[in-house]
Amino acid sequence: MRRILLSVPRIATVSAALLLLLVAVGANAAADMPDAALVQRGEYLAKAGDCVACHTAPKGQTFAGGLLLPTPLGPIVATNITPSKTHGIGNYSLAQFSDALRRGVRADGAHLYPAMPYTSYSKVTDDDTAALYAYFMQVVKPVDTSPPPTALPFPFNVRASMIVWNALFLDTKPFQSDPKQSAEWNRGAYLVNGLAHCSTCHTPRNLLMAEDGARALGGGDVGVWHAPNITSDANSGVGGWSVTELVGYLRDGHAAGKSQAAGPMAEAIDASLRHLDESDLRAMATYLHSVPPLRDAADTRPVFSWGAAGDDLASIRGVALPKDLNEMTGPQLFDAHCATCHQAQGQGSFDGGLPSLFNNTALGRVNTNNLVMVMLEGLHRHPDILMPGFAKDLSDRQIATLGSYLTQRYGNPNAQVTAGQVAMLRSGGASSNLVLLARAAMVAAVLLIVVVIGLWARRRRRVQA
Amino acid sequence: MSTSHSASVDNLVAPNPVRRGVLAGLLGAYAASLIPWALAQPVADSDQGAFLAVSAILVGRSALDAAATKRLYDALLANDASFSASTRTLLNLINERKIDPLQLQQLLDDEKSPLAAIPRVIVSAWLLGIVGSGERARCLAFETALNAVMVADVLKPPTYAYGTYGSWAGKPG
Repeated sequence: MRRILLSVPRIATVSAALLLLLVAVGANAAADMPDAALVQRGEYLAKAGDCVACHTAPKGQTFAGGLLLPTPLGPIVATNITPSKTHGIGNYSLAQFSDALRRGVRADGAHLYPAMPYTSYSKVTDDDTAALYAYFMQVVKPVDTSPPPTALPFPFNVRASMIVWNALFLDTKPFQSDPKQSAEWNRGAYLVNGLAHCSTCHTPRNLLMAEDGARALGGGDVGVWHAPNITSDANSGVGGWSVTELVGYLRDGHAAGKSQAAGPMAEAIDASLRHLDESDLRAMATYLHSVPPLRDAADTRPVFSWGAAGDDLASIRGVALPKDLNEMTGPQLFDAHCATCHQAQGQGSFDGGLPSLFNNTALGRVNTNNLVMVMLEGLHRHPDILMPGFAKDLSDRQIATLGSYLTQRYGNPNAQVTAGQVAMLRSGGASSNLVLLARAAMVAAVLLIVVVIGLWARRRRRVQA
Repeated sequence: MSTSHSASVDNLVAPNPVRRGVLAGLLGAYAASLIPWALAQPVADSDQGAFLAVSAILVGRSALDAAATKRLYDALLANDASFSASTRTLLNLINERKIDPLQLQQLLDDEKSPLAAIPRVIVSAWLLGIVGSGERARCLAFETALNAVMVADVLKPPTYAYGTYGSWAGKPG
């Protein structure tokens, strides 16, 4: 679900203090609700929206911004969304709050970058927006500091360009429930497509960095991580998961014999999903089961179904390690670094506390970025470390050898890890040519105009002559 | 490939009348009474057969993994060129003198027999997985060494993870 890295928010604020427009449009239906209940609902909704994930820097003050969200264009800085009147959104009216949340327009009229998932938040109802507003204004503690402003390279520093982008990609239609579906399904659709903003990560993006609606929830890349396919497809998606397994995964971050959350998804579960009511998680799972299936041709069987217990101990016992440890075989690396926890045959710990390596989507997908990232960084769930990282212990080549061995032995044998891939992920991901492309396109456009003017002038001279 | 602690029996190759006959021919009546199952166990040749028979008598198990038998035999032979001849002599000795396996080592030691070292290296190989000593020591089995297999209902080397990662740091309940 949600954000971080390339996706990510960047809510309103920043120089919001400039604005004195206190439009004070009172609440509508939400006005009927007693304040305490309204604020409480707002807090729950803020968790569902996982605002904290981006708007709180590591070890920073809650909602005070400062997290750098790496995008292919450069870092976007999440802003202070506390009700500080000088540095936050303290002077925002409900209408301004709503525009920032659902239209990507901050109080001074400037446009937010779509790292802030306002394309999803546009589905949030008026009532829920009012509840969120009440929570942020009445409960969140104001913090009078601002992170440095976002400074993307030209031409992306021209925020007005977002007007064109929004015209193309922002669907301002509010959520419409489908009377043919159950109330549970509709609740799930509202959460998945709205506040939980699952598509921000799980839907691939087009050249202009907008979500590709034709491949909704079909799997996207989020910086160095891959947000997998969560459509209802039985092989590539979650069609083979039961609702109970999905609910357990969203709440606990793992499902036995299926998968475990790592990276941005682990954060989403820690900060957001595990706080949601069971009924809401069940609704989301029910809706996900109905998302049109999309299949990756490489997934010839369910990605969680590959592999079986086994070992290659006979190839390593009694055999000396190579002098150059980069030459170690996959079974040797597994023996040295994995087997003490995942056990000799990859079967995981007896009480189920550590997952098996077979029947595990981590080794069943052809995209092995997440596998590499987990080997490098480990798996962290606040406040626990579920698996240590090996970035300092293993070289790129060792991780490539080990990763490819693991997929051959316990996962999808077509999945490979290369040393180049490990080096790229270790250094923070593939570099982007978007800035260069945009500038080249502008130069080309200027040249074209010059040529057209030149031709036109020459023709005019000829006509005059 | 694919040996599990408890799957040693599964790893035995399919019975082959000729190879099965090799072992039967090696065992005298007394040795055969100690390990009656071994009559049905196929072996590659008579030298390995003698090793398998002595191994079975010494470690007291009703089946031994065929791949492990070969690996340990090859390693022991590489360490000591007279190993196979000594083992055959030992098997004959056990059979002829009807030696109780539990008394074997004591008897050889008392008699200062040149064969006294043989039961020790065979038992070390099967139980510890180690062949040779000092700088020449090689660990040929760890997870599948019999000392681990015998307690595999509780201990599962190489893991010390009996719960989640880090659970070993907590106080036992």
